[in-house]
Amino acid sequence: MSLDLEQVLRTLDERPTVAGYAQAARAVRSTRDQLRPVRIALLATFTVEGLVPYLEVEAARRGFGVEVYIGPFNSVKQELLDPGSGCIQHRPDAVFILQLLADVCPPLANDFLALETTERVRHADTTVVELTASLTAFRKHSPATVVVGNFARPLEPPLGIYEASAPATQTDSIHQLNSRMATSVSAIAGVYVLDFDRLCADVGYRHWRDDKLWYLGRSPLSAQLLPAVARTQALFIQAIKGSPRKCLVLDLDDSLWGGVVGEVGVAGVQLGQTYPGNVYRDFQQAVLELHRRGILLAINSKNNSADVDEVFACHPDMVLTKGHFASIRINWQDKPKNMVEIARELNIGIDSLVFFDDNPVERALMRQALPQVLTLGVPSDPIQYVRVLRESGAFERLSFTEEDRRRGEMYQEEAARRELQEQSVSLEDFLKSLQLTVSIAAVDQFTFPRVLDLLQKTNQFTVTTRRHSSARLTEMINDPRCGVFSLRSGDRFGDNGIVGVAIVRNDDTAAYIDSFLMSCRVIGRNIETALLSHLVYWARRRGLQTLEGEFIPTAKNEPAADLYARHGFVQADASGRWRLPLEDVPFGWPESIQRDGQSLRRDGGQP
Amino acid sequence: MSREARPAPGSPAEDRLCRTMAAVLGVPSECLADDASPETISEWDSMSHLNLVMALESEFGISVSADDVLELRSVAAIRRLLRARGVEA
Repeated sequence: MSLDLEQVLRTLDERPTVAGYAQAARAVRSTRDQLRPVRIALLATFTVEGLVPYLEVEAARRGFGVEVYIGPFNSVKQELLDPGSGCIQHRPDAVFILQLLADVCPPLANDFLALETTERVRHADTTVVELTASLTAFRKHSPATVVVGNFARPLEPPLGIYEASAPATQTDSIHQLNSRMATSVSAIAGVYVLDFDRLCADVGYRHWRDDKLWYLGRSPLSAQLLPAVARTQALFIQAIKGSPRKCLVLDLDDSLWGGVVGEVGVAGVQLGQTYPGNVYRDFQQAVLELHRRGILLAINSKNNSADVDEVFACHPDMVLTKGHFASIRINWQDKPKNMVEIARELNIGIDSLVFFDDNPVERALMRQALPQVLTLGVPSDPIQYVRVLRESGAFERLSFTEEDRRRGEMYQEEAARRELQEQSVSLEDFLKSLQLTVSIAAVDQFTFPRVLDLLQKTNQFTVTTRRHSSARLTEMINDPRCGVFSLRSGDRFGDNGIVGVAIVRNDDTAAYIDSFLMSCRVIGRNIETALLSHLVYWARRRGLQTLEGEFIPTAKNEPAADLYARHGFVQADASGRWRLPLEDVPFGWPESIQRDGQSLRRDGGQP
Repeated sequence: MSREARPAPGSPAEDRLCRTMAAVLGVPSECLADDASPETISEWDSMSHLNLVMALESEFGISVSADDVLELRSVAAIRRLLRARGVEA
């Protein structure tokens, strides 16, 4: 981010006014060339132009320069259905749809009490079905991610104070409509819901709509709601286009607990059921929540290891245990150095780390030495810690998979593996004692989210780094000339979950590897050989003569650079294409890996 | 027009109102003499007019009615409204 832009955003944060946003938006436009471009379409049933400056600013804060198309007033459906519509012609990366209930289903909004129960259900049904149909049709014309706002609950419930006690109220109806809409549209690849109702509740039902602007210009979003909507949209943009952060690296003294343990001792640190100890306890709880969502935790602290061990072992109010941390650096060397080591140990990029430290000097040092690390601006009041962590949006993502839920455990298993490796005399010895199992299967609805997640996130062991969208992935799964495979692995220490993806496509004579990637957790275990050998099997079964792949180098995918050479592919030309004649394949399924029966499923097949 | 001390029309007015309007409309505050209006400033279109109203409300802590919005067709009109609400621009 340029210094100018940083300055502008800082000024805005001090006084987040309407004029401030307008001014900041102009500054953003003038530094657009330094931002990552992203194409956005806004479709609304009302005048939504006023949102644009806010979106420009909030997207810029996350490094994105938005190019916005605004659909004509109240023509959401036409914009989605017509392949020649401005929205589709704009070739957006993301489409945001905002609708008022009074616009899409007037009876439910305006005549609720006059409706029979069956009519209420029918109206809600129609609303969901029509929206789902439009989005399904849109999916055929555009791979754009779509984010649909849900409906706000009524400001003035028709039954007044009785609304909360009464059965089958308008409030209930809207709530049900929202939940059915979420289920229905989320089933379409690449479609998500923006919780507009929650944003309205957040600024207050009484404050989200600006009545005079609504009546004068059908522009209902108030000055309070506009930045809230834009911030949420920017988080979606970041989740869609950015590489999500993977690991929260924490300082200890005055971060996880109050006071310096080396000075006050275990019994002296602030942590417990009363102020200020309860503040730190709740902060630890929020950190634990991130861990459960699949975010890795690490410690980067200047301390005596023995003091810290004692806090973890003896303090009754510690919420986090040492086992929650995938990497621990407690020493007196400078923190950026520790940071680099943590990234190396966890096998993730430095740019996937977030640093939380109460000490401004440490933060400044980190920002200077490692600008790729997201160093959070931690306020001096620990009550604000949780808010800062949440509002940073650093870990926002659009999935929650079984792998995410188990990630913390998996890293603990990984530590046990490393120990075994250190004891083993040779690599083969180690691999044998690991008792690796691998199963490869065609991607199905259960494995889809994780596969998409891997396509979005894998930076290191990947030959093409193609970030296929959810829609594109669905297209390839349904294409009879494509094979889309997921690889699951496990060993005596536990299940690794899905750690590999291969996408291959064929013409009459050759199969082409579109994507081939593995989670860095399992590099060095010959698992890639198993996956390649599966592709060989797939291609042979189709009577093809060659298997071809390309390597597109990036700043990070060096680990996959020799994949093809190692497996006897020859470089066909200078273009980076590698070719393997299928009558003479110099490798097979690795001996150290056991095939799991699941491989037999569907087109997963077994060599 | 009141005679209280305030920048003469056409001078580089740097009071709060001018700063706010300049920020919203994206024009230099010299353009915002009292007779400036949507007719003389092309950036002052109907969309930025609504934005301007929101900015006035948040900047000066006042609430503007729908009828007021239609009345505020010049810098002078805005100054009159602020004065009527007892706000120092």
